[in-house]
Amino acid sequence: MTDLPRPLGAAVAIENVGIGALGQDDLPPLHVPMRFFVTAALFGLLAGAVWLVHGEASFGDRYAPSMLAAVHLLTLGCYTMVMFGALFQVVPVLGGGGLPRARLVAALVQPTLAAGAASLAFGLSRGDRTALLLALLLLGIPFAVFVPAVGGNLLRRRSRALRPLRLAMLCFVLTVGLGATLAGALAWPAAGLPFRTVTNQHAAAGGLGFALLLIVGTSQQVVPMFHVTPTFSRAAMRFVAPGIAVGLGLQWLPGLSVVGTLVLVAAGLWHAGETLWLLAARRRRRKDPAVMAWQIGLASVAAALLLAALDLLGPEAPVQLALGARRELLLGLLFGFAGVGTIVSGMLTKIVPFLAFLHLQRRCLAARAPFPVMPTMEALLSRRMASLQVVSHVVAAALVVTATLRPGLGGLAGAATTAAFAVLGQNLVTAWARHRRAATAIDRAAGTAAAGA
Amino acid sequence: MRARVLDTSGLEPPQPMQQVLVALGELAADEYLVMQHRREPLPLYPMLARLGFCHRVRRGRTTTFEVVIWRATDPEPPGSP
Repeated sequence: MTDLPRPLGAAVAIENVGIGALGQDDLPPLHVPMRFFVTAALFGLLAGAVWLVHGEASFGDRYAPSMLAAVHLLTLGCYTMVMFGALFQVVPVLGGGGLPRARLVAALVQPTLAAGAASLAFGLSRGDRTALLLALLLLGIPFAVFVPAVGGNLLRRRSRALRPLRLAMLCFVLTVGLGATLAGALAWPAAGLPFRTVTNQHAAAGGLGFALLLIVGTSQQVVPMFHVTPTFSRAAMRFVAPGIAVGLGLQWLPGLSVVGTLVLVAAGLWHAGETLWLLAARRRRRKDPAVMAWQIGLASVAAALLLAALDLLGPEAPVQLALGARRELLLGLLFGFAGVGTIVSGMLTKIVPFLAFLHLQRRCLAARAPFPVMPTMEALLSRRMASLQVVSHVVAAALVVTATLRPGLGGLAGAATTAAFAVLGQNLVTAWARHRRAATAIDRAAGTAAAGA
Repeated sequence: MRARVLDTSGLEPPQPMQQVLVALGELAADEYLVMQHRREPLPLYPMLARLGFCHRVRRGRTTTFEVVIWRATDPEPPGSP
């Protein structure tokens, strides 16, 4: 029952379509997102291992085979894997309904995405046509299955909260299309393809489009909820995501690239600035590794956007000349690894124990077990473990970004990256195992309670 | 009927839900619960029904929402605590 007056009720409908609106019956089983997250950690570890082995050679050239392999292990095998896994939870939440056949979709998407990413990385590192062709075939499956499943849910609902996700999925389709074109061109070299231009468009659509829009859409819901901050301004909710998408589109139109860059950078900086301001204004100011991850990640994203804006100064500007060919690798890893990667690591410290807790609570209720059996979120993933996860990623990110300017540090950056993802994997497996133990304890307590009744 | 007020507006999830479920377990025979929160706690509602409670949502005085919760066997509490 609700006796809210109409105007407030309407505002509520828009403002509270967030994870706070999670209908527990729409939640897919915990193993659905967890298998994506654990696989993502393994791919991150592999990327670190590639940098560890190839070190200076990787960081010396953006197009070095080992760098191309590591970047795709991270972007496709790790970040896309995490984002897909999270979307199984986020879309039902923002869309208000569960994904159709979530278990089947997950069972198809996760192994083919993993195999495709591994095959692509191998093909890029060795210039192996067979591996590239296999990657194209394998990656076709998750995209053909997942995009329509998520897209259908996104298009059916009219919530404003879904707008950034719709745009993100659009950019994702674009990224995949451009990536497939590039992989096809590598497998069957064709004259006339502007390789560098298409590569830049592929990277921009994936990073600034898919990843940034997904971060915008998720953070607009998650930051106020998890960190007890004021809500985002209506203007930000309305204009930031479309601004990023429009800026990206304008960048590709002849004669409008300067305007596009300005719009894109302004929208991205707006989001980073407003999120940092909201975090500074949060009600509970205790130390939280996830907050630190947001702060460092968003600062890195902002720095990368400012670096992108250097294009406006022209190629002869002193700073452009000083950075030279290193600028593109610096920009990509500052945005992707220090920015997106740090935010993803921080968000996982919140999302994983929270989802595990929700599933346990549902189990507790269904089994009519006493609530004191329930563990706390802290018991599922301790603050010390979460801090170690974020700090190790930040250290790795600092070394990776430095290695783009000092390639001799590439091996060390690889070692730090491997260690950071090992910590992430260890935390994920630990939280998952603790969830299973708690589920068993709940079932046992429910049995005892039933026997005593 | 006496109102028992629980302010969860400054708490991170899932603490609001945890505290409400604990408070409901401790509710005296002549009491009902008023949960104050900054967001509408939609996941709570199916749980309340399963646990044998009714609820009503209204605009809060100091927080955005107040959820009035009472036992299904009790009469509905008056409009304000």
